[in-house]
Amino acid sequence: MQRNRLPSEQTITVLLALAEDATAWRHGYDLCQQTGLKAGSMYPILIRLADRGWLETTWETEIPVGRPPRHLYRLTEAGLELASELGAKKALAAQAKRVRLRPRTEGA
Amino acid sequence: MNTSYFTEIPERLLTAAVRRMPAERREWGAAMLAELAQLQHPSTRWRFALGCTRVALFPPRKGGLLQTIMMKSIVTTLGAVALIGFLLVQPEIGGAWLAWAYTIYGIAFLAIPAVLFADLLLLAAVIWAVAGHARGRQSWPRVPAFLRRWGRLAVEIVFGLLNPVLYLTILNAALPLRPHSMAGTEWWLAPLTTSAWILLTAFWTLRLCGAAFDPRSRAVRAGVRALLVASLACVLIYAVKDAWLLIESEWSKAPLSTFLLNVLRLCPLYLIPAVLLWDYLRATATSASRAEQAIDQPHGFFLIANRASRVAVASVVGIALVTFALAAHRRSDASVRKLVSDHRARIQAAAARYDVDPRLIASVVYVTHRDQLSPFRDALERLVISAWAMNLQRRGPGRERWEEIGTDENPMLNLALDISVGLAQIKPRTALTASVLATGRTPDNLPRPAYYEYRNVEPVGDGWTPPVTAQTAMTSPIPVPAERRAVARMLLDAEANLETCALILALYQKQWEGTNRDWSIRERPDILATLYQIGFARSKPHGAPRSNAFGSRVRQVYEQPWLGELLETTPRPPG
Repeated sequence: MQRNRLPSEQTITVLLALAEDATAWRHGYDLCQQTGLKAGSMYPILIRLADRGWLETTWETEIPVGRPPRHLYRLTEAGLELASELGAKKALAAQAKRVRLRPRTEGA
Repeated sequence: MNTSYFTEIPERLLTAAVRRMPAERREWGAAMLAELAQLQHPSTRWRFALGCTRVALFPPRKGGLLQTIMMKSIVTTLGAVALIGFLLVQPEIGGAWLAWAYTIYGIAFLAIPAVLFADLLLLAAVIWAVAGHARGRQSWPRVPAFLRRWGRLAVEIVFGLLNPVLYLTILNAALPLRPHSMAGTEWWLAPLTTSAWILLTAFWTLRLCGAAFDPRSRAVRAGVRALLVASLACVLIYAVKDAWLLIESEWSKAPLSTFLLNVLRLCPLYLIPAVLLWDYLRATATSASRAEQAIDQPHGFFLIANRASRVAVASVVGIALVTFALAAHRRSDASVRKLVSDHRARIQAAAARYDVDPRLIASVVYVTHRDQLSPFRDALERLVISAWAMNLQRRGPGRERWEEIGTDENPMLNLALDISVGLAQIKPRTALTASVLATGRTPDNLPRPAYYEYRNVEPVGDGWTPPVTAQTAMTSPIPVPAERRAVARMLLDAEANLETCALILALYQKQWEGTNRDWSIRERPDILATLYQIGFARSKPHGAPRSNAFGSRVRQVYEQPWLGELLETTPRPPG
């Protein structure tokens, strides 16, 4: 039973957060704060996104004295397309939910 | 502790973990360390470092999730096979582990919290969490998500989410909730117990493998909800049944306050699974997308992701097929005949010692090994009997006190692990009962501490005293008193097992011959075999006994010529 499954809810959240300003480079901790995800969830998602070619990474070039360079992230074109697609689906689902206000009467 | 040192620990911890990362992931370790260097507040640093340390220790592998899953699955399967193989080869060690696991589960997680009312606090915590979910908020936002997730899973596993785990393996043996006093009314117990076990198996199989099916499908959702409703109904039926049995039990004779306290202590054992089940039911009753989230998220009803589930389904099906094949495999007629032939001398010696028909013993051995047992079961029973023989109470503290108040040496293990073992398939309790009947010693007149080993001998009723014990005392192959380990060892020994079989048959002969003067039970191997199977308590001599299926089958084998040739006797004429 092969089927294309959606990325997890958390992955979608990260993709959408990165897509908000697609050209900007983002830091890992900033993304944690923006999405509310813990580091233990955020980094595996970033790693997998990068593995699949949806995330571009680089290192900071202008480094303040006394701290190491930070890792920066932004979506690739493929990642941006995926984020747009998922964002549209999510918006449609939210709209459908708003329209369907009557109580659910169907069975399981 | 020095503050600067305290704030340095997270960095040291993460650095150590990053060093262990595979080379292709080390860049990500450096990224996490660089982010940590930005953080100042100690608690923020700790939280961030702990999360990153987990990732550093278990980073996502390159090569795709499926490859990782396959690798984990292969490693897990090989590990499980190695463990099972070790336990079957070393049943004594395996039995000890089984006994400890059983007792820790029963005592540490269920009995002690229940006695100390700690499970009431747990019930309150579960209700608080579930009420939070119902209102759409997180009840413990400060607790890390993985702790909440694993905490809930731990509670679900300990409490089984369905009562049978508790009931069948713990409460049934430990509490006065068995319908002893309602002879003839237990007909509903077997189907209820069977249904509960089937539900329990289906429930956890679905949780482990369910994500292999499309959670967006209406059929899958309907199946999950049907199972949840059935599980909730099962818990409620058990609660009602146990409430009824509790009222009928000796506990109800205690003062009202004590009785109510006991009820209060037991309530969480039923309410915790019920509340958790209701939470899943509520979550899956909403829209299809929310239901999908509720069941298909990593912390939802389905415990593992879809691709992992497919591997799990394949593994479960494979293991189930192998188990069924092993369990269904029966010895061939030739191999069982050879088994009987190999023990011919022992069978004849045992029969001569107790004046019973050697053909009957040989027939019992043949039928049990040809029709009922498999080599797999044979290995498994050694494991279980080793657990039965494990005397935990003797090793634990406060032994004298436990014995004084009459607590079982192997708490809660007696009934569950009392299985038939050995060449003639004899239960330890039956063997102990036979020894007590043969020697004329009742548990009450045995010296302490031997008394305790015999406290759980089968209650056989008045039909056995006299004539059997007082008038015709016999020696037993299992000495009285005997320790559990000795009993287990002797039942696994072919010679002692056959002698015990002969003793049991001899006891039935004496009981029936003492009552019936018109005909001899020695001429009815089918009836003796039937009695051998149904046990001492149900043996009530009368004039027109009928054999059961086992007895008829034994009779059929008994009359076969090869057996006569083997044992050099002719069959007795049918009665």
